[in-house]
Amino acid sequence: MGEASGSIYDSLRKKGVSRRDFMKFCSLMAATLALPVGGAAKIAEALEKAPKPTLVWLEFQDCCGNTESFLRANDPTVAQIVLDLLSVDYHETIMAPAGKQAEKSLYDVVKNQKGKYLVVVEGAIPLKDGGVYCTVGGRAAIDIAKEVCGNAMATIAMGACAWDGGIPGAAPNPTGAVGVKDAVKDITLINLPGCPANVVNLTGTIVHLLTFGSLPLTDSMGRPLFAYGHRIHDDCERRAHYDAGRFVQIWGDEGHKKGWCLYQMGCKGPETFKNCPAQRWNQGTSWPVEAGHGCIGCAAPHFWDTMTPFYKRIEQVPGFGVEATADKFGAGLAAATAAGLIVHRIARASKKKSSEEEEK
Amino acid sequence: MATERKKTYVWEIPVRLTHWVNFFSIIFLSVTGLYIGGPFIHPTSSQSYTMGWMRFIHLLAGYTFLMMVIIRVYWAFAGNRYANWRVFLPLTRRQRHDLGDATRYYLFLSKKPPYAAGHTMCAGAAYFVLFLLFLFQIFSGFALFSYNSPGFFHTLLGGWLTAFMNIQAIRFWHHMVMYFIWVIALIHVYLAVWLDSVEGNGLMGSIFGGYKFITGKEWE
Amino acid sequence: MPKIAIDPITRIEGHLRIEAQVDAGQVKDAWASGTMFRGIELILKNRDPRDAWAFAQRI
Repeated sequence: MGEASGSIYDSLRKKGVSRRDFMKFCSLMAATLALPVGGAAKIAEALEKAPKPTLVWLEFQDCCGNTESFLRANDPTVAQIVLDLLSVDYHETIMAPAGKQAEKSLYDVVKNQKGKYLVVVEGAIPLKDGGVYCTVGGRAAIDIAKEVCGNAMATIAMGACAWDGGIPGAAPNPTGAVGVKDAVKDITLINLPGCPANVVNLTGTIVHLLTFGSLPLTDSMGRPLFAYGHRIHDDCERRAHYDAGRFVQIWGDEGHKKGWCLYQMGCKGPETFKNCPAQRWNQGTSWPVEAGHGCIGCAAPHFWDTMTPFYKRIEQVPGFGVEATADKFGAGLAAATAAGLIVHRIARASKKKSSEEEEK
Repeated sequence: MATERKKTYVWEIPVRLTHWVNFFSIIFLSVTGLYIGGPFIHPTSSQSYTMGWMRFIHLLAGYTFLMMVIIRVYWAFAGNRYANWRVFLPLTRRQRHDLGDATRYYLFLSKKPPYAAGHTMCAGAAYFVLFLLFLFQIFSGFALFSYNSPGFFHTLLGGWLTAFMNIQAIRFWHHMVMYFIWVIALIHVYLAVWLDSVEGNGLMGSIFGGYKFITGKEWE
Repeated sequence: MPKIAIDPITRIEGHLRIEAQVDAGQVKDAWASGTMFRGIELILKNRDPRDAWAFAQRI
């Protein structure tokens, strides 16, 4: 880790990566980014010339899940090397120095490479009580974020927590946790929601930046369209079962063994936009639905509050207990109305009868 | 007792058409909607396309329902005075007075039935609430569908709602409002049958044929 | 007696601060502080118990 020198391609060749493997990596990135024909060549050309950018990785109220995702960029090997060669100058989970020496690495980048470095933020930023619920080196997260992100070329908010507060931001949000977009204003920011976010999307975003000099196209929530433009439901390999009406009813039943749709087990695929079915996890090994568990909607806004209960399609009626589904409540309401009308009818009949008797 | 009866054309064709098409649409929407929310038919063959058909019928019925709402809104300005938008809101003092009278009668607090050639004010107000529920179902339904088919048209029809409510909340209320509509429909049928026998002016027949045989007790 | 502080401790998961009171090259007293709090237990309350594993997994 040090000053940028030579292009990424030069460094790759020095590390013994063949031209063939390099081109394979460029093709993979072009596919991930959904680039048209010629995309791989464009990426190759850019990486041959691009100098190693510096990246600093900030961790706030996190569980380290996005770092774990980052560390799974194992295969193809070239992706891992590219990420190494990004000159990751600061990352608390993997860097050698600690304490003041570690902080020096961070603030040297901020000072000497102002406007030229990338920041990845993982974890939420607490705002309550002066930001005391997360400090690094004695400094509150909000202050670190403002300084480091404020002087960066671009900030990548990786994971649900850095996007919208994630799990610490879930009700009742005891620490006032928010994501980068709500904590730091006036910065170039791109969001990669997910719990955790998929490293393939991080690599794709950085490669896009290196190739085209700009961040990828995003939707209205600042999420790159190449990764968050499709619904899980529309790319799911079990979609045919959904359309056919073949649903798993109980864990382990015949349908579950046959790989039927997990809709009735609470799958939030119809509500969630992410490329999990296409890219999958752990170098394309699998993803939740393929493994037999419904999507929990972890890339959706405030998913801990909006996509729970994970095992129900619709949330429960608030204030009536865990089993009070909308159907039970609605059916109860209709039944109560019918009962009320019957009572009304009987009352009418008895009133009529008593008024007739009065007349006699 | 012989009374002078005046045959009056109250419910024009667009009113009756939209009423009955809505009736059938809501049945189709409810059955298919209940399936979509919680599939209750279990697959019998490998060729089944149950959810596919349910969603298709739901969408068809939804578009039909949307057409009926648009026609009725237009007719609320183009139709006769019984169809006019003013009958749905208690704008005049007389209307507010009628609203109180009708409610008191339904609750056995008065012995004077709310005769009306068109809608009683209670009916008008109830149908206005129902109309708002219909609008919500259309907007929330198309908001849910816009996730399937994004684009300008579906954003206009309901996708915009996702900027104000999260998708799961939209789904929850879309489901609940169906039950609210059932409740109003139940009360509506009950009151129609009751008021028909009380007013004796052909109320029930009028939603089929359009004519009431008013006795003069109605407020014209 | 000088007091040293090492914050952040790196190459761990999570946030940790170590302070030590040093006298003639020997540590006389030491403190360890967790410098981050989220309140997952508070967040878990009143939720469907079948979801609990997912929340707890993120600790």
